Amino acid sequence: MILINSIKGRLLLWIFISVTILFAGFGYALHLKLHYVVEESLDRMLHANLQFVKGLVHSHDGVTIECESNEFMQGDYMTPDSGHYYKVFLDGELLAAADSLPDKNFNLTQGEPLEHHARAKEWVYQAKGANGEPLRVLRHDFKFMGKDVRIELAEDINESMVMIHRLSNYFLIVTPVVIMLIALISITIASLSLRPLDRFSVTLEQISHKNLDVRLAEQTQVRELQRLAKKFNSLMARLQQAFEAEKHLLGDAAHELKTPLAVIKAECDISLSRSRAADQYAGSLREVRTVADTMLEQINGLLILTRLDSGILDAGTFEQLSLNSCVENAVRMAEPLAKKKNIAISIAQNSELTVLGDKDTLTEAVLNLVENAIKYNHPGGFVAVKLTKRAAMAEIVVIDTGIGISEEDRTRIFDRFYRSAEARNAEGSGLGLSIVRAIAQTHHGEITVETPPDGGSRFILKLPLTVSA
Amino acid sequence: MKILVVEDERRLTALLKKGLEENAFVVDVCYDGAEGLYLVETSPYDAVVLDVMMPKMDGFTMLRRMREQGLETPVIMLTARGEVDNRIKGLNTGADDYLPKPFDFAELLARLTAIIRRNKGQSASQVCIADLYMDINSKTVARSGVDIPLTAKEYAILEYLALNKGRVVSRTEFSEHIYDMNFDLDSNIIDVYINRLRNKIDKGHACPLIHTKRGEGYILSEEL
Repeated sequence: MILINSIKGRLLLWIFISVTILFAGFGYALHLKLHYVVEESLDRMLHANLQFVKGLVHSHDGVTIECESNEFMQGDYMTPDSGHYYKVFLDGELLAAADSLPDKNFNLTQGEPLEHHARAKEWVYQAKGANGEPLRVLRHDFKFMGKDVRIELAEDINESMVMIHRLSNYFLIVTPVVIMLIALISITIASLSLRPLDRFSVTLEQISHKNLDVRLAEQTQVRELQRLAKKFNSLMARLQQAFEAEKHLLGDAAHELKTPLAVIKAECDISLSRSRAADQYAGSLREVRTVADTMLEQINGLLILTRLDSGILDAGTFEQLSLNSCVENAVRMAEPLAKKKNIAISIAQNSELTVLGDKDTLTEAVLNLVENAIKYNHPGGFVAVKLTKRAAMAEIVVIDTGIGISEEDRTRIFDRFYRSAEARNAEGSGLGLSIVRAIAQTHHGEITVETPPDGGSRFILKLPLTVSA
Repeated sequence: MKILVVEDERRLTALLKKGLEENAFVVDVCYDGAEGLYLVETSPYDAVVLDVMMPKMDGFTMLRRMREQGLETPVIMLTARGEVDNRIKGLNTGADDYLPKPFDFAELLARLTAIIRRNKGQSASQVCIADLYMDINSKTVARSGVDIPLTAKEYAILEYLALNKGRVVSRTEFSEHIYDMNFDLDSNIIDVYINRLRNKIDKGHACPLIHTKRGEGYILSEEL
């Protein structure tokens, strides 16, 4: 399993299998070719001898056919068991046999012929000699002076067979050694080729949550790894960004919650440091109560942000909803505060607009904008909420006659816990606008702010329209 | 002792002012580093309570600017970012002490008293001049073993004299350290308080401790 699960192991396995198959095929082909070549040369020799023996068959008187054995011409056929034999038959009767054949009646044509050439009237047999040696036998039938003559020629092929065997054995011994050598070379090549991957993974191993800024050098990687390195680096960049954002949020949250806690502690410590009149204690308790409310608001804001960030709210839970009713509800909810601060609110909407979204969070977003418009307004000012359609977007515009927003603040006003110098000591969590932005982003919309030259500010919440009625 | 509190959370600033004033400190407050820097440059404070995260100029920057100008006023840094590296950064920038939020008010008082004392070259928390005995921590005064009750202002003046014993303190210096920025310097109120202190401390004793240096100011000393 370990072998198959590593690139090196797989490479090795494949090389091993393919080389083995290649060598086996090559060996088999070589073996066949060798056989063929040996048989061919044997057959050529047999044919040459056939012509020679055929020449021995003659007739002196034109009546009697005889096979004259000529001492000079017979050569190998004289020595007993020389491995070169012949037999000549006339009309099925043995006419002559080589002197090398100890038993003249020894049957050379055993079993079925291996080959049969009908036109040449030739048969090839595989036979076993008297001593068990393998023989290749060529039989030839022909007519001589109207009589049937058959010549059987045999050659001992033992030596050739031994040679073939030796070669085959040699091949069988050499092949595994060569395969082993190739495997060794493959391992070396695989290791060398995979070295960039090793370096790659060594770099990766160094990365933990503490050094997310580690990046792979894209240019120095081999070409195949460059893309991987690039992808990895961009993944790391995104991860680091998310991680840093989390860390900052956590740090900011701790900081923002510790400050009101410091107020509560100091209030209690100072109150308790000496005996005081009842109304002083009451005043301190009211302060503590107010600060506790702020903390609660901040914690709730953080929970909303976490919920929006975690993606619990997504398109799967969205429904078609009327933006008009969201705006109306938000304005209704903000009216008590507006009355208290003597601010007039107006709604302008000319058509029914429908978006895909979550009703509660969208209402919350509009409410946050309207409440901000009231909070940072001058007494006697007004807030105008406009709902309009622009291209494929619904626009909720909240305009106020308030203190306005400086250019420096405009870029940071949607940051978590950011509060402008003016807003610093007003009630609130410092999270309202970042919640609005998170809600807008969840709905694939956006929130922007403008400061009209005649004062006040103008928040624009854009949401993609689905169906416009 | 006059303290400057630089902290952008107004509720906390108001509380610190109230609490410190109840403990015989004089407190000026401001809400950002830029104003804080202006104040320490223009008036002598005995200590600064400094927040880190502030608009316009943060606490670290204000502290660095102060030290660059050679202002040696002791500083206690106060911040919600209480991580070790932040504390080290504060101390390395020139802070004398560091207190993470939320803090115990009593601890702030104790640390504030301690850095002021050390800054005046007075490492013990008790001051003895002849048979006059002062405990700076408990803010009690006794002469010849008899406790002398003092008002906060009277105590503040005596404490300032005691921490600068043997040195003449001018009326201007008094008003700078004993009154906040809203005090009218033309007033003769210092003389009034010195008279009250003489009545409580020197009256009935053969050897007076508070002396007047004509045209210069007052000195707390065993002999003239």
